[in-house]
Amino acid sequence: MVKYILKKLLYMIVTLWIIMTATFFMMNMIPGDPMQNGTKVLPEAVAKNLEKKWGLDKPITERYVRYIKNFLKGDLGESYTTPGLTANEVIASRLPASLRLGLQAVIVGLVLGLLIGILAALRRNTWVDFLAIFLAIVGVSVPSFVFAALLQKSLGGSFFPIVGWITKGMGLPEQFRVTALPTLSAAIGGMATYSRFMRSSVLDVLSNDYILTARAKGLSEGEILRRHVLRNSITPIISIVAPQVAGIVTGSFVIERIFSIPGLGRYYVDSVNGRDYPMIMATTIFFSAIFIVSIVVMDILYALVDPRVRRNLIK
Amino acid sequence: MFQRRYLKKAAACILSCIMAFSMAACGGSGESKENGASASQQEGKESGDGKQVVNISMTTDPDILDPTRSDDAQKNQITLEVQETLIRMKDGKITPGGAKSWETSEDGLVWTFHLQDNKYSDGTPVKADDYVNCMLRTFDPEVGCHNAGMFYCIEGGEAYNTGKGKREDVGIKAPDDQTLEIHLNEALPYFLLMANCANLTPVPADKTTGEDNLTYGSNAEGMMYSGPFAIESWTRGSQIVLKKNENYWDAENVKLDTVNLILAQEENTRQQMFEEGNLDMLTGINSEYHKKMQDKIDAKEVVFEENANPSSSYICFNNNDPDGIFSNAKIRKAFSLAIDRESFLKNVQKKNKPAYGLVPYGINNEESMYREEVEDPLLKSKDEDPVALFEEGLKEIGKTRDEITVTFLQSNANNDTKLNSEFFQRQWQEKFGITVKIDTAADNSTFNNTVSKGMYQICNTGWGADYNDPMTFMQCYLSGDGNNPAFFSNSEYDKLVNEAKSEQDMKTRQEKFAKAEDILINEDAGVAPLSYSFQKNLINKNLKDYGINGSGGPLIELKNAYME
Repeated sequence: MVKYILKKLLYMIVTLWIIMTATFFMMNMIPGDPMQNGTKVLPEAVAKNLEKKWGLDKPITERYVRYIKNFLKGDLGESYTTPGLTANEVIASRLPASLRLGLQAVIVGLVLGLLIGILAALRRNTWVDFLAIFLAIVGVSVPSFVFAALLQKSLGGSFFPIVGWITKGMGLPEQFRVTALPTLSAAIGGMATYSRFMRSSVLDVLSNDYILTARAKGLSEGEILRRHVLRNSITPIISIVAPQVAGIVTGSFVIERIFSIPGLGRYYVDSVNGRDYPMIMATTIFFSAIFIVSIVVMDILYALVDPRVRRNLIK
Repeated sequence: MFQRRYLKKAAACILSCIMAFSMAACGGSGESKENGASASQQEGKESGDGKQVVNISMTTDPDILDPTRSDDAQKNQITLEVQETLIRMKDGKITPGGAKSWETSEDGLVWTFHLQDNKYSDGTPVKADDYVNCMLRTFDPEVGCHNAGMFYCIEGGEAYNTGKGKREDVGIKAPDDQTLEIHLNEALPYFLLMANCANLTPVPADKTTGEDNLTYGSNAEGMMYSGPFAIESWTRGSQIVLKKNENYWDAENVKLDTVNLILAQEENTRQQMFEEGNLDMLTGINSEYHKKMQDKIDAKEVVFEENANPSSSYICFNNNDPDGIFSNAKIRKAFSLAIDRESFLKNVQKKNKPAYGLVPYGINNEESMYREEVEDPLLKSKDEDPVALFEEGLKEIGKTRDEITVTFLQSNANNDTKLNSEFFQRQWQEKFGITVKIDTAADNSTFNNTVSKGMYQICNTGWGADYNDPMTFMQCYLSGDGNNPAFFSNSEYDKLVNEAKSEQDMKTRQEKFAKAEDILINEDAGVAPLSYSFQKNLINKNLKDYGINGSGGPLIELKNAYME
């Protein structure tokens, strides 16, 4: 098992290095120039001076080697557009909002999704089931920014603010108020996915012989649901939740833009638009790391909880 | 079959979980460092304790608030509420700002400003040296200010900025704490109008020494505030809260206690916020929203204002077109005349006014408005046949229609941009029977880069005034100017504009500008004007004494504003 974990960690490092290298070279290939980013053109001499200062006058391979060296020292660089602002500071200041939004969205999506999925399966081929299927289709096919706009339009205003985020000193009720609409907007897609999975999973479990046996033994329907159906049908959901958690924590940039949330996802997009190379690299590496770690952790957990996986590893 | 009561119980339980989570799972993890912003935002206009509060929107997220680096409308708006320029504009007139009086030498080359007895928000006195420091940083090649070129009229500025001269040789001096002297290369009659630029505000040298020179303005805490307001909190990506600066020299006339600058990048979001009373001003609305709000305007529930916002949009031809098509003046002019500007503004853009010249409304030549005095140059050619002109141009370059395919570069893939491009494409294809392809830049950064390197044939771009004088538009088309996207070059144009720089007789100056504009737009058709910007604004009926500036100064001047 230790060998398995070490192997996974090695894969993780190699994957991260490949992503880092690919991003570095691709980023430098896209058109645009961090110096001439405004609408007014910098005098050539000034632009050259800045290029020299940032090391952009050096060959790309030399810059790459220097970047890797600095990275290994823990230096992810400093923003071109906001000099003095380091990548570490940006991540530290922006991650909490993204994390908060992402986690709330995953939890709300998961709870609502599982509930709808269970109800749909238990009420198969009734209006409840059809409604759940309809909601799932809508939730998957309509982009989150459309829901965001609809929620802003229908509920935004005096109670739920149209834009804004938590600030220091806010009490819990007010935190609920400002995070409710973005959380719901970000949760709807996940909710639809979870409900579809949960419905199939519950139907699958209900068709097993042990459910019949349980009924024959005289267990109440509530007990069957709690002890057999829920426990067995929820396991497959874990496999889709882990990557979704990583994705939603890092990828709510549209919601962050619409609701003016000071999150990392939006900063990433702004960095790309502004050709802020150090920040593009730092945020890409950070997002990739979260994603890779979540997948590795999921693999390890699988190995720990499932004897079949463990047996295969030992073989 | 499961009992209904189990389902009800399960549903109630899960819903309770959601509520409990939403209420309780909210630890401190998502808190930003700054405080009070959202709370005050919701307070609206007058908070319970009678404080004067105004909410306006930010349309972009400012990356840095160093006055030296202030180079767009959004950063100018914030910087000029919290920093004091030498002069301030009020109702189109120059009024004292950081300088209480000023004079110019007889030859017009030296401007002397006598400063107010002003203090920063922390109580430190504002000194002339602080203005000198900020202005020198504008030319500092390490800082890389995009506006530096605008001030090359200051002695030694260009040399220092381009690494050929020394900092000490720049003609900005402080003979004493209250006096500032600026030495110019030429006697510019419009120099005073440039003195309300954000780059000419005080920043103490001890705040920008060494490495701090490059990082000043990256956070609100390290900054000094000499203007009517000071930044109380800055939540990047969300909002900025300004508080009245009690040490400001004219603090008794500043009535607002708090200004909330709320980031809202989506137009629909801003509109809804205005309707809900979360914003007190909505600038630059389109015609459709204007119509939608007409009932409220008629009922005087909101105030509607329209003002000339001195900027113009135009079709830019690459005068150095490598395919040799737009290097021909007749073809350029044919393309310009082929555009039905009235139809474009009525059916596509749905705002602004058609332009047949370069200098927009709202720009003065001394006391008079230039555009009202000088007729749009293209109007006299309006009835010429563009097709005949196109044929003549084709003969000159030795090509036939069938050989002509041109590419229009659009700045991004946004829906509005696409609609504009398709309109131009249709107009030129129908008129000339040629193929017009549309190429799309990945984003604005790529677009600016592509255009500035001349890697395009035709595109749609524009320019906004940096100060209230025709020169802010005319100097862009001087041969070799860095902000000349058309690569236009005409010796007669250069001569006229350069003469107008220091021409003291305003009537003669206007004539020179008019002639130069005629060369650029009509004779040589370096660019094809499209529209003059007219901004439609909606304002809370209770907001009084605000100002809306188009050229220099903050777009929304809140120094004297108050809520009734």
